[in-house]
Amino acid sequence: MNLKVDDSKKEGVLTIGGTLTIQRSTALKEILLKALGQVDCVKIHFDQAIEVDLAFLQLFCAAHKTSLRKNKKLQIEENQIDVLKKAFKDIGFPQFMKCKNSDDSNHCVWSSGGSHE
Amino acid sequence: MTEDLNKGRDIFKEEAYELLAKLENCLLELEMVPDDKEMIERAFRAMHTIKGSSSMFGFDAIANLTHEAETVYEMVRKDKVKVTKELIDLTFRVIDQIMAVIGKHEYDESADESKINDIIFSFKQLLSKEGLEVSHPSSLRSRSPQERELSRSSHFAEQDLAEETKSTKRTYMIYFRPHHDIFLKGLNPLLLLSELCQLGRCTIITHTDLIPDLEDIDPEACYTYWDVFLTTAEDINAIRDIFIFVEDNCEIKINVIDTGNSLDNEEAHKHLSNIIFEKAELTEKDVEGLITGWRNTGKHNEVKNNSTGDSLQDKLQQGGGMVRGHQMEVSSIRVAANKLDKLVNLVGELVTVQARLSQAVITRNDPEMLLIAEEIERLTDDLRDSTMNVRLVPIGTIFNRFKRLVRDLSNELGKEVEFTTRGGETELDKNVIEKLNDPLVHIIRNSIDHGIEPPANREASGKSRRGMVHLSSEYSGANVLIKIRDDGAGIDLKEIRKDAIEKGLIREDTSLTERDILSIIFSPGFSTSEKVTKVSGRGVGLDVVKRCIDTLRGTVDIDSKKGRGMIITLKIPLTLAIIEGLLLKVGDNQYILPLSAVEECIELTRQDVAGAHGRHIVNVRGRIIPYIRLRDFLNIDGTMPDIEQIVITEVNGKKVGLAVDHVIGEHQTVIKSLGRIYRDVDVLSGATILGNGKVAIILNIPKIVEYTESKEMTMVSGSA
Repeated sequence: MNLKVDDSKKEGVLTIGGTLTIQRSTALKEILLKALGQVDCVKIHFDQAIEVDLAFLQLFCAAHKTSLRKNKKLQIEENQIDVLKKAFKDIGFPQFMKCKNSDDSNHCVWSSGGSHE
Repeated sequence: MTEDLNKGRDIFKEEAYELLAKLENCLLELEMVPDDKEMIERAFRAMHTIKGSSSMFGFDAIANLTHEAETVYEMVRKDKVKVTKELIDLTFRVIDQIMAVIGKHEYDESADESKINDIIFSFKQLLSKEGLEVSHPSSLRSRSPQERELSRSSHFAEQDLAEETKSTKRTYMIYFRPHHDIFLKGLNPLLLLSELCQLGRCTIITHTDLIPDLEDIDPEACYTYWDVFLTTAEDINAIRDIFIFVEDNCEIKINVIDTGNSLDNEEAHKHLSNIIFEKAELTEKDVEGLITGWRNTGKHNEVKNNSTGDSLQDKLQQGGGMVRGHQMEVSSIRVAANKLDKLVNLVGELVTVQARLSQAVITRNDPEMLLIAEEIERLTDDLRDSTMNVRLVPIGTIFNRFKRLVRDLSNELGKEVEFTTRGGETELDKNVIEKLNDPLVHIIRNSIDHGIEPPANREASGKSRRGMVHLSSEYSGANVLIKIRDDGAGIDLKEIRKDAIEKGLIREDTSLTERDILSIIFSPGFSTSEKVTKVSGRGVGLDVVKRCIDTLRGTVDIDSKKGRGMIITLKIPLTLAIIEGLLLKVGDNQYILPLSAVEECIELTRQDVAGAHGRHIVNVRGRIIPYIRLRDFLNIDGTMPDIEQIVITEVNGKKVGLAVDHVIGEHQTVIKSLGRIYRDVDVLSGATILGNGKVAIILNIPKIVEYTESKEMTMVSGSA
């Protein structure tokens, strides 16, 4: 896990990969907190194939809520959405999921594997 | 986390064991009627549930094995493969291996990878023989459990979709809310949702409103919950099966919202989920409106123009209250046995304290307190009865296990045996039933090994080739009578007597009744079998049966006719924890007899004693009944009262009296064990604490009678 901050743009790129499951959830929480504390826009980049679980999805959702409350942005890099979709498919993530929390269900991590914006 | 995961695995093992028992019964039924569609369906479902759950709990060997079996049974469902003896045998081997993996070695199997691979290979061969395509083992083995589940999911979704068109479907609304700590128990809710999707058309609404902000979230807790719309031809049990291993770790509500096919389309599901999404609740009117509109026009948007002229959303705003269709709540819950034991112990303590309270109130002579004490007594009695009822389980749960035993044994011994049961619904205390398993196994093994003759011998003696073993149970007062009857060779009394003399169990000149001779087969070390077989004949077995039944405060009775068969009757008390007792006094001590064994109480005057000329007999309405004076039997000093009481009981069909100083009355007896020091004192079967805090000993009547008879016999033969 690596966070690169561009102070001029107040933007950070959080690079994560591999197993993003409950075993690493505490570390993930810490780095997400750090990222949202430092910059206004956090972009997620997957540097390799990822394995996710429900704990990760919840963490991401919590981070999204926090970003909205702080008027910040949390997004998955555009060309990375397929990586997340594949990870969902691998864990048997059911289709037709909807998230009441999301402002835009087409860009919800729960419903399409898309990014939170 | 490991502790929680282990707890989850333990639950899986326990419930897998029950599913395997169901599967075993299905197989036995299928062996008789191979094209029984319902049994095929049940067997398939049991395997499917075990497969999914074993994968979830990391039992990959079980998942692999059941996957192969399930594949073949899927072909059986489609009439592409026939149910044959080979398939049944193979499936029994699957059961044995799973039992071995989860540590329940019912049939002396041990988990063995080579055996598992051998079974998998045999299943594949079976499919090849039918010219059907086999799945690749590596594709299952090398992938993660989740991947496997997903691939199977699409496979079965296609099949289900095709099959569902044949029958009427229901639409269920399922509310699934896992407990916070579900991840820590090693459970993955997404796998369950995946399984639900396999059952039919499925729409899942994820509720994330409980997920806190990043600062507050516990990253190892589950905050997510779901509403699921499922349209399927499967019944509610198929849905419950999916949640069977997590029902203690989540909240589940399953409602039927439509019993026709009206909601079996994507648009209907979409609109239902929109309602939930917007309003969180669904009314019957919503569903009715949707269905009516659909039936009339085939389009959801027409619902807006139904008779009321309102849209669904409008209706919702007017509707108010939440009605989740016809809610079908789970009618039973699973409770750990140790929790029940604890409850019974607490009720036992309460019964004891209540007795103390009643006694204290009587001595104070306070009418108001007396009323309260009586109310508490009534409530305690109700609570005791209810608690005891909770522990009662049908004896049929163990009857079913013996079907497999009979099948395997008769195959092994080359005998043909028909096993029938009756009275499986008779209920007994859970602990009693568990302890009955081993004695019944011994008796049934003995019947098949020694009783039932080989088919040719039976034919030669004019019997049918097929022998019969019948197991039945029925209530008899506070007891249950369990009978094991066979139509085999029966017992040769002369042979038994001869063997008993040779083994030094009796003397040559000992005079014995038919019943006495028959009871010798329950003596330690007695066996008439000429050869030791794997099944029986080691000289152990039936004496162990007697010892087991003694510990249950029960009795064993045997009846047999040479060439006609044998009946063994076990008389077992309904419960081991709290019994109705009769409180007696001898000297300064108090004793309890089980009330169920008491027939009547009569007085014994000095005049009666003198009239008997030193013999311990009494005339009861013209019938002479022997009695045992407990004062003498228990070596209690002191002065006897002028009028004693005799408690008449029946032991082995004979009336016997027990003479005591006083009969105090009925007493709720919470049975406490006497501890190791009294282990060999079999005339005492326990103790109880009385209302005044004193201890009363519970007497074992059959043992007292047996002991007295044997003492008198010794005295008689000694004097001879």
